[in-house]
Amino acid sequence: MMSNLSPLQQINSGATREMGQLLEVRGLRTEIPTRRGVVRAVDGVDLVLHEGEVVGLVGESGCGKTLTAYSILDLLPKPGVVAAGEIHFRGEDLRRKSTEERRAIRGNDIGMIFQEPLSALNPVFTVETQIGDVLRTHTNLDSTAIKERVVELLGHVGISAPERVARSYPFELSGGMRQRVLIAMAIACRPALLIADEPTTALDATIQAQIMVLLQTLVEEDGVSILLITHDLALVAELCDRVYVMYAGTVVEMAPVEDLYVRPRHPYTSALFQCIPGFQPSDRPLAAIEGSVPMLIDIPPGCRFADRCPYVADRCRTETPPLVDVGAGHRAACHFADSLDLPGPASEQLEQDHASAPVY
Amino acid sequence: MLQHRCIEMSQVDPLLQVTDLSKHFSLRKERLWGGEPQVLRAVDNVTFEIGRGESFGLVGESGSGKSTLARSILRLHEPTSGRIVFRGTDITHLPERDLRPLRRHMQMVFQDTKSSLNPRLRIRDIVAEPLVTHKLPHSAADVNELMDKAGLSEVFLDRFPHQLSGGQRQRVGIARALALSPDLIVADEPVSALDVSIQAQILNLLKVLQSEMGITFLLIAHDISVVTYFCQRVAVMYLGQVVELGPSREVMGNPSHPYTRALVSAVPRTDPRSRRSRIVLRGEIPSPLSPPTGCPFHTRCPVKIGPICSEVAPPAYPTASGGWAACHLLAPGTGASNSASSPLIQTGEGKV
Ligand SMILES: Nc1ncnc2c1ncn2[C@@H]1O[C@H](COP(=O)(O)OP(=O)(O)OP(=O)(O)O)[C@@H](O)[C@H]1O
Ligand SMILES: Nc1ncnc2c1ncn2[C@@H]1O[C@H](COP(=O)(O)OP(=O)(O)O)[C@@H](O)[C@H]1O
Ligand code: SF4
Ligand code: SF4
Ligand SMILES: [Mg+2]
Ligand SMILES: [Mg+2]
Repeated sequence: MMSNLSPLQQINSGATREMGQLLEVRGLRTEIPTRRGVVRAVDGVDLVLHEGEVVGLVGESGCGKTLTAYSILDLLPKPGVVAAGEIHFRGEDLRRKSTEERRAIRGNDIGMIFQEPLSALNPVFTVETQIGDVLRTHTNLDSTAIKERVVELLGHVGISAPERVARSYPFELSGGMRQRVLIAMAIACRPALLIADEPTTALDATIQAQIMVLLQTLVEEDGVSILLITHDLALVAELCDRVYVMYAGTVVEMAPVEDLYVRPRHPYTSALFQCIPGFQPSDRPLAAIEGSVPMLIDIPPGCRFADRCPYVADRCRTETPPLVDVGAGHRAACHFADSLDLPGPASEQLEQDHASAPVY
Repeated sequence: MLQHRCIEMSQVDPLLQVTDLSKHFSLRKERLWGGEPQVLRAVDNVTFEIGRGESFGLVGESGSGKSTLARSILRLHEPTSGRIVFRGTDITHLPERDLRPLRRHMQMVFQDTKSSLNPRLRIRDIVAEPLVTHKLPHSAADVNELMDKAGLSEVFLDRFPHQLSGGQRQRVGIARALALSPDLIVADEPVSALDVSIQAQILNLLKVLQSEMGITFLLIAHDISVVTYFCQRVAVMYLGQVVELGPSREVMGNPSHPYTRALVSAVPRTDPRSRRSRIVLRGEIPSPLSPPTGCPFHTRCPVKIGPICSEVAPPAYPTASGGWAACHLLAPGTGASNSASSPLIQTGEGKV
């Protein structure tokens, strides 16, 4: 029945909700020339995000998550370039658009929240000026309307004294408030898509929970879609509908969130899960993944995870495993994805082991 | 306030005893004339002990005073009041000259390896630095051995810090801390800046140091799962005070203080099937320049019982976990002690 659908359409039909496609990235390759050679930071990434969906992009530092986002936004740091691929937003290929057109889309249709809430705000301007700038650039509201909208936005992101905060400078605000201001800025023009890069990493647990609830509200009440970039697998479990796992510039697994946590199919995904303290009793050492993400220059053939994979076989070093279907909307790039029985944090087996232990 | 001390005294062979320790900073007023200097209560009347070979955790949100407490214990800050006894010696006001021989036995590991490692020194010199400072004889083999203990290859010896990854730099910080074979390592957020995979490597390393070398740890982390994994006991800090203390698994599995409950509830779970309604605290930590009267948590407490919370500082009451918590709800005989948890459980747990 699905045979006449393209692979991407098949992914759509496997999604948890029936929705239109908002973002579709195909074969994205992002390169950064360096003295030691060309770094292929993103190497053939396919990614789809539907309207109203929250999609997670996870992986260790240096896996290419941020550069994937920067490529979509046309914000690559020089001398980085998108070397190949298509980036469709609402059916239009963004790569065919001019710099000006892309700037208009950014901020208007696609909002973004970056990793460092301090450096993303200009220290010498008030919050009002900075959010106002976004509105001035992208709308034709007059200054009174802008002032009102700024206060309204600050209230919307849960700031209790919006008038006062509007007149504040970034240094006068706490980390949590700054992150709220950034979110207010990102949603100022009611974007359809919000790209959030580690939005809670720098925040304390209780403030993190506040921001998490705020993001949930934006999805449920304002219908915003979110591409959530993070290495926090618990945050993904709480917020996302579907997840892409990246390793060394490629997608190694994608799945609806439950399937991934109940039965991960790629050894890297399972290894990431096992690094979380609390996944196993504390008298055992954590199943750390030894080594680190390989350099992305002159990548040899074969599986990129081979040097760190506990299941590596000869074949893995010569043949690159393709990303293949392993279930409804579930794909993995491992030669043994079908035969391996890998634990995830929501596996039944584990649940029994931990029945008595506190879970976090 | 004597109760928590009674519970604490049961510890055998304490390496470190901290009693009623406070560290207040006086801030100069913005205006030059008039007025008292403002007092910032970064650490307020903190009491606990750490047994030899124990791993003791400190959790709490940013600004709750964890680092200030650690730095005061190491005498990197002069304590405002209270007492610190380390290896049986009262070091609270010990002059630097007499403190020096004791400093060897207490070392620190930091979160920010970029600023805590001298960028102009090679790794071999960074690791040997404490030996040089304390004028101790050492050979290249000693440095190699330290590198080995910290799980660092000798190829890094001639590199500079910026040529290492974050995880490798943290290992250098640990190798340096090991140089003087300390009894106590105070680790301030040693894994917070690291990826989960690297974090797991470093936690495993610290565990080995604890079990094989018998090193005592004071571990500061805002990540509850890290502390629960690594520490036998934990103290939860809020606005400069310890609000709950006890065995870490029990405290985090069955918290008694409303703040600890909120903190535990805020931790996202790694199971998408048990997304839960959580206790979301309103607002942020009040300023330590004007801390609330009574219970420090009363301005955000979701189960505040009444005026007593804002008027009377709650004493420490024993908890089911075998530790103590400072909350009026736990007062025996009020009938409230059993219902303390019920309003929170309703909002706190989504899973059946
Ligand atoms: N300006 C640059 N010059 C050279 N290489 C770069 C540059 N920026 C990134 N890279 C490399 O590209 C790869 C991916 O980087 P990216 O920052 O996208 O990873 P990430 O997954 O977002 O990591 P993190 O979680 O630390 O932000 C890494 O190998 C990184 O070293
Ligand atoms: N040298 C200092 N002078 C003035 N205030 C300080 C100083 N160091 C810390 N503080 C204040 O003390 C409180 C506790 O700080 P800190 O111990 O660093 O918190 P944590 O480590 O838990 O994030 C904060 O309000 C902080 O701003
Ligand atoms: S293809 Fe081989 S090396 Fe790669 S993840 Fe699978 S088993 Fe491991
Ligand atoms: S003493 Fe009162 S305000 Fe403080 S934590 Fe207990 S119930 Fe809440
Ligand atoms: Mg990043
Ligand atoms: Mg600190």
